[in-house]
Amino acid sequence: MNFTQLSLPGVLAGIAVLAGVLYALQRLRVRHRPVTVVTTLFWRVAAEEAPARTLRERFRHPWAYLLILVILCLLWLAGAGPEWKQGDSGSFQVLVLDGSAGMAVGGRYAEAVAALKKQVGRLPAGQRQVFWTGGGVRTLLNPGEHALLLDRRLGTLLPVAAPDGLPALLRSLSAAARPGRTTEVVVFGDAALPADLVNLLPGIRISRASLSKRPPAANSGITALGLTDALSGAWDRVDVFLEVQGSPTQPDPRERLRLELDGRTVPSTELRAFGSGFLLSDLPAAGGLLSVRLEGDDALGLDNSARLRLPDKPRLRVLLSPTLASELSGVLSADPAVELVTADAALVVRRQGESLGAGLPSLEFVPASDSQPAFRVLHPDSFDSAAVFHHAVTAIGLREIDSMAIAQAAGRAVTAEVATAPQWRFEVWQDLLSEEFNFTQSRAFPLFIAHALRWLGGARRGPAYVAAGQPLERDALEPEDRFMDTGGRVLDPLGAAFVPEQAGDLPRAGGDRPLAISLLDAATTLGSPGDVPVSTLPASGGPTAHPATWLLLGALVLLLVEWYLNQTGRVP
Amino acid sequence: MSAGVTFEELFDPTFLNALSRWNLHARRVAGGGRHGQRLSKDLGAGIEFNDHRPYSPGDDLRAIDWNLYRRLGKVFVRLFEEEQDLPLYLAPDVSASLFLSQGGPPAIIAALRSTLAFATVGLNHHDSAGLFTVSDQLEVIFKPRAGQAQIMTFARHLARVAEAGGRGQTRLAESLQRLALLNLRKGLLIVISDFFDPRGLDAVREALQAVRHRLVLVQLVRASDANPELQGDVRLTDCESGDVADLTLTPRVLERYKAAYSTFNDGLVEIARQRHARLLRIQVEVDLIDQLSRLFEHGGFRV
Repeated sequence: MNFTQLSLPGVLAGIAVLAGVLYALQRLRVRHRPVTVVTTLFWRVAAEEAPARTLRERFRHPWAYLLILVILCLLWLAGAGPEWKQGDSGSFQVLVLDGSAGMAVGGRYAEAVAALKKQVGRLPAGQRQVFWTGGGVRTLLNPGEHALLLDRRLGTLLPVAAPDGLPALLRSLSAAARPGRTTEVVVFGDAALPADLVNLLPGIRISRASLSKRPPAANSGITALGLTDALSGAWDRVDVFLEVQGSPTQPDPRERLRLELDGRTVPSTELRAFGSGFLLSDLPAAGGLLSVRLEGDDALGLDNSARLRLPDKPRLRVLLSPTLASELSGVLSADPAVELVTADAALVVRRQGESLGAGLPSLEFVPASDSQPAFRVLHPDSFDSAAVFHHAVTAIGLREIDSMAIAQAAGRAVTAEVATAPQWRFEVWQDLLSEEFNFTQSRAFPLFIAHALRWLGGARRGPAYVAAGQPLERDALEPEDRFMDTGGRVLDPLGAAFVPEQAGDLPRAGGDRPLAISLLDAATTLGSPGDVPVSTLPASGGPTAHPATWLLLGALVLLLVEWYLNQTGRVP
Repeated sequence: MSAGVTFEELFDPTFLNALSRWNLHARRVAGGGRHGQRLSKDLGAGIEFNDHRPYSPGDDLRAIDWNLYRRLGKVFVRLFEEEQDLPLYLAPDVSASLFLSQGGPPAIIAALRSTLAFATVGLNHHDSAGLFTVSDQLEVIFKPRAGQAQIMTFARHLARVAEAGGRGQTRLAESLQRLALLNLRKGLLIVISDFFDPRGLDAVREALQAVRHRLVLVQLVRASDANPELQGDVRLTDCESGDVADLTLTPRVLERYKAAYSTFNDGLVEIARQRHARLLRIQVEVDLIDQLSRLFEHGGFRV
């Protein structure tokens, strides 16, 4: 047992002082109340076996002294702020409350909260830490904090539309674990404990709090919602894939699905069976918001809706310099994303020095020289050169170009650079268009031109699949894409893949189209996580109350005993 | 020491009126007394025939049974039972303990009223009554006197005793021994006391062996005697001797006290049984008229 108010020597010194004071009191002369009686005949007889207490007499009633001393010691110990020692009930415990979507079934979450509070009450404050995992990880109680704070912090916390965040927490705990010391994690909820994860975490011992058995309940949910380029080949169209999983006893999901695109109903008859789900073909890629809702009652409501922001892919209005028509007009005409125009162009393809389409983003073919790299990306000053260059290389596919062959043919090194300019521009050696390089005849050439124009035109494919807890496709994001939380703070993934925590809208910094995130978690919908066998924390057992409570109860019982003994004349 | 009580407090008119209704039935009294209403062991000038005996010179000629002489030719005299008075020796305890008030009235009031009650009953029936007070020593206030006129004399003496307040200790045994030496005519000794003699009941028992009189013991009982309402640490002072006893009163001590008091009462009963005496218990806090009415009415008090 530890003491929070006093050190152990202080506690022992207090007990010694109490014993001494009690001893002195026991021997002090008693102030007798004077009473005149008609005779002391019978009192003398009565007092023969129990004379009054007087100072410096033989120390009498040692058991009474001991009883009082024990009572005072118990009160003293209770006041010293005792707490169960770590060894009293095991190692340090990390208590994890599962606040993921799966806990929204029935009263599952409330039961887990009750079990958590009970366990917190059992453990000393310095021997436990409490986390909540739902949309991310939140600390509910740090070691040493009073258990009363738990109620306040739980507040209105309810399960959110997010897969369980336990794996991420376990990884961080494992990374922070001290060598040679085991951290005991107790999970309050149904969060999955995948064997491949658990077995790879050294220093972590996991158990699950004993809750009532999860009731079998019919549930269906949307488990996949993603898009791809239209199979029809239309540049400004996309196909959307939709998957619904759940109880086979429930009606055909196609009858229960309700789809809307920017508020306009999309007939479910347009859904076509495709693989394990359905395909919705040729939806306009105009930046609209596709909302899918699965109607009908089932056990879990959080997985019955999903949303997806469609990309904005207008056709690129390209002005082609007549000096390049012979080399490029065929390629550009065959590109469904390109519309060759002579006016109101958004892009221009020209040779260096031409004034055609001045002020427009341009694909320029420049003479090869020692000072001119084979590929040069130019961007306005306001953008970060490294990010722009990285994105351009990926988007245009410069890595896929056979640069070695070009270098051999050109007799000089093939390099790529980034620089700043008033307008977006992508410069390419015009020599590559000559037959000497055979580049125009290669199968990569149309792709190179198409990618370059799409990059210059700012065509956004956007993420094909946005699910809570799943990292976003990095290539689908633009350099300027920054997401903010509800407090307006920019979420910076610090170079790692960006992982939206829970379903909902995530605003873009400076953008007007928030990122729509959906749950899309089959494990949550089906409620059958692949689980590794773990021990179960018993619902009862161990110390159930604060040690001070036990000490005070003990003192009360002994006081009653003393009162009884006093009433029966066994102690003075 | 408690202050005394006044005449009015002692003998109010209601109490005095009640006394006239009561009677005392005594067995045959000892001879040698003055004429009274009690049959005595003497044969003399009464009206109840008892026996014959041969005539001897000096006998009253009026007592000769001439009918018997005619039949038998011998002279016999008729003997009659003589009616004499019963001397009452009233010995109230006037020690300090009786004057101590412990929440209720002091026991002296009940003691003196009882004394006057017994005296009045006797004097109303032509008996004589004497007054002897008991404290440090026996004090003879006056020897037995007869006549109803003595009732007020008795009351005034008792009132004087009461006004004087408590005096000394209850030396009952010594007082009884002295009484036995007074060579009084055999009569009825009525001892009215709480019997808390510091020498104990054994001394009282021993002293009573020398007393030739018929005996009535009137024990004055306070409620606090049996159930003292004390607790905690107390310093008990004996109101008579001034002895001090420091006590820590626990339930167990109180139990032992009650056991000792019960033993004392049993001892008193045993003394009464041995001496064929009547033992009366008077509750000092209860109305005395009620208690004495139950005693004297319905055929009177038999001794």
